[in-house]
Amino acid sequence: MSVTAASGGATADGPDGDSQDADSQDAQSQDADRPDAGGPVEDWTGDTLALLRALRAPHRRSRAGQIGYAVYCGVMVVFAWGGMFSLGLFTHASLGADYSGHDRQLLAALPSGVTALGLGLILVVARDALWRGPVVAPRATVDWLLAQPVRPARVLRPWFWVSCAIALVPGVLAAAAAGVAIGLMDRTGFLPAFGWALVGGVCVPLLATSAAVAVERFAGAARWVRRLTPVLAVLVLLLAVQSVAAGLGHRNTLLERAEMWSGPWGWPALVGLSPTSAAVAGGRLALLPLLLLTVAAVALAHRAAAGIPLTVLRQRARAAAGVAAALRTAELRSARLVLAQAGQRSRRITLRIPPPTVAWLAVPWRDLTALLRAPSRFGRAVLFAAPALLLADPAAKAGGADRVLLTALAAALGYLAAAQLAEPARVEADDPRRAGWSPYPYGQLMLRHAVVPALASVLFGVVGAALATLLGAGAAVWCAPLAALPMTAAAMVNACRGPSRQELMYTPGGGGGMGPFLFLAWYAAGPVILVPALAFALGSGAALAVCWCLLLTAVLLYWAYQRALTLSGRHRPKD
Amino acid sequence: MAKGAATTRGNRAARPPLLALKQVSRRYGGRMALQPIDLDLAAGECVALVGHNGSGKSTMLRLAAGRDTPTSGSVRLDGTPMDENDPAVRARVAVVGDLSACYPDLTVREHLALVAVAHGVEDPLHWVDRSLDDRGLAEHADALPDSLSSGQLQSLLLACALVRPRDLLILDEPEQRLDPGARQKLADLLRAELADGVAVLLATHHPDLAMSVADRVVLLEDGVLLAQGAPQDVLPTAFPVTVAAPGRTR
Repeated sequence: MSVTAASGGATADGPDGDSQDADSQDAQSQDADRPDAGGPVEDWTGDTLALLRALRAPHRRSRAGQIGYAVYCGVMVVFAWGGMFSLGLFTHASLGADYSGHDRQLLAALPSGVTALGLGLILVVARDALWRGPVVAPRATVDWLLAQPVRPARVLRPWFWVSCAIALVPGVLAAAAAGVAIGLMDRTGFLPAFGWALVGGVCVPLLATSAAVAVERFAGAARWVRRLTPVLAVLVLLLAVQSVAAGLGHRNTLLERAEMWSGPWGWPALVGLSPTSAAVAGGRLALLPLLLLTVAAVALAHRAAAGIPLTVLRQRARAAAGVAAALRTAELRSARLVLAQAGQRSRRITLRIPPPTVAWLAVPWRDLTALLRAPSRFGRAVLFAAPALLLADPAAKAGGADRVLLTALAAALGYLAAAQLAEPARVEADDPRRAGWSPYPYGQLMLRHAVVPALASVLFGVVGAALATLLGAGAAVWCAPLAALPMTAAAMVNACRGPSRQELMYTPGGGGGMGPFLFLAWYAAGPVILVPALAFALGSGAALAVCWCLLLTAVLLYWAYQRALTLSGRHRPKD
Repeated sequence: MAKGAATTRGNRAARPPLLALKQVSRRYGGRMALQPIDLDLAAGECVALVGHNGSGKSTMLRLAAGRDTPTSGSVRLDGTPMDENDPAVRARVAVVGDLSACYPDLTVREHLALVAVAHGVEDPLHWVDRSLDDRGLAEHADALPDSLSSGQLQSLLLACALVRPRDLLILDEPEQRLDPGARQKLADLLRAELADGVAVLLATHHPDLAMSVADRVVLLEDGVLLAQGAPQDVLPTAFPVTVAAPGRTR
């Protein structure tokens, strides 16, 4: 029965007799003029996939060869670096070497550390599913194959299992690392330590991948992940801090037990510690719920993978292809833009501020509007600025290398805060043609884009320093508003970077393998100059520090201006 | 073959709708992309959606194709809810939209063969060759997609819709990237589809195409249905300069 005939049948139910006649005539004429299907309810998935396999056999062979080579290289690297090294350590241990010096610290740090790792992994994989997910078929498969009436289960489920296999790799490697560390330090031996750690190394990645399928499949799950992300991120951070504190001797055993028993993120710690001297009573019992939950989650995810809507698959395939293409060309900015676009929700902030009546306020107005419509940028700036401020006081009190290190760290964090506010400049630099609206030459325009981020950074610095002073911090925190100026200038240098210079990766005569470092230095030129210069400037006394900071700001702004000129020259049409 | 003779505008209107949109609206965040709208489309009937960019044409096509969920209202194909995730719907509805990503290692002919086999078409090779001829792709049958121009890729998408059985053909600005000759062929093709009883829902910026193939034209602006009726009545409103003298070529 043809689909055409089915259509005719549907319309024949109508009241119009003439229409029925016309339909039957149509149907007769169609017999010769339209492709005839075997039947509307018949499933041709098997034949289609068989044809696709046959047609793409050469491609599949070539791809299998590439994957095989990559796996071979990976295995060789792991064995050559990790395997031989670990074997050497165990051989030494068998000959009497003692590695148990840090045993207590390691075992103390593991309960909250493993819990943080488990929760963090589940969060990261679930977040990944907001834009990509474990079930990501290639674009051609989504656009061509899944647009036909094939059963999606046979196409999509293999991708779920591929993601599971990929997720297992870091899990198994982490279990091996835990096996070596615990086996040597606690003298448990590699195999028992690795075996028990492997339970978590297998179950947690599988649980995370299964949860990610739910995020991809159900819009409600995705909404919950978005809502819970800040809370879970803070929890992971607190657990990591607790782990470090426990390693340093500040333990809260009761809290650790509660965390480990709280869910599948903590159960691997109970199971992993069971062969060690720090085993928790009844810890091995966690093995049963962990295995049962994993099996159930994987089975449900296997089922859910087949029901992922085509619209979702289309979006994910495009986002994944866009990010992959951007990463292949080392265009990290493009990759970030694709990610931002993929994760964009339909509800957007449309805050308006009255447009200015004088021309010179046009650029600041445009920048302020852009920043007010993306308040998360302010949030991120505060997140980076807060630890930078907290480091300022200990940096001033420290001496020697510690002082330089802490100042450099604070400067790097401060730069990241200022860079969050320079987004409007980056948008203008992504495509200099966007600056067509501006009456200013491109170089000047980019300098004007520095006004709002500089003012906002200084304001953040003043407010932060005032708060820190109220909380008892020393006078050193007042360098923050001053340092905000060169930080903004460095952000402008990076904003005017222009298209990715991948050729630097392959620089000949760079000292052998220096290409990636040269590329990184070009990519992060602003902070690369800023951090050491600021560390030097802030360590040179108050009056000199002011001079150095102003000079550094001027130099960096001039550099940004020159880069902007180069950037606009590239896009100028040739005569 | 008596294309065009078997069906007339009068008896098409009397048929029960193949596709029925009832009070369908779509909101994206705070923006109403499409106000509640009704639209029926019978077998062998062509409705053309016209309007400026952002008027809601593509939104309406996505809803009609079951590729998006309406904020309110319902979309039904032969009385059952339209959902592109249902293989039975995909078996009956052919959509020609944005340029799709092709398999880089499969030729034009192989792409079409894949579609034909997926639909269980009898004698697929015959239909593949015929679609290639119809869309002027015979010369490029063994070419890889990378070597095709955007107009040829658009033709490949149209050929993909032709090589398979279909009851409803949804086209989003199919005239894009096509040269005048190819556009004329497209109009001929759509008329043949209508004569064969296929329902056609089309969004276009091209008044000549709408005039030559559409039974009804729906004019949208900012998501609101401004006018609906015969092409000669609506198109002069939609394209006041371009449509100088209303007249049907069918």
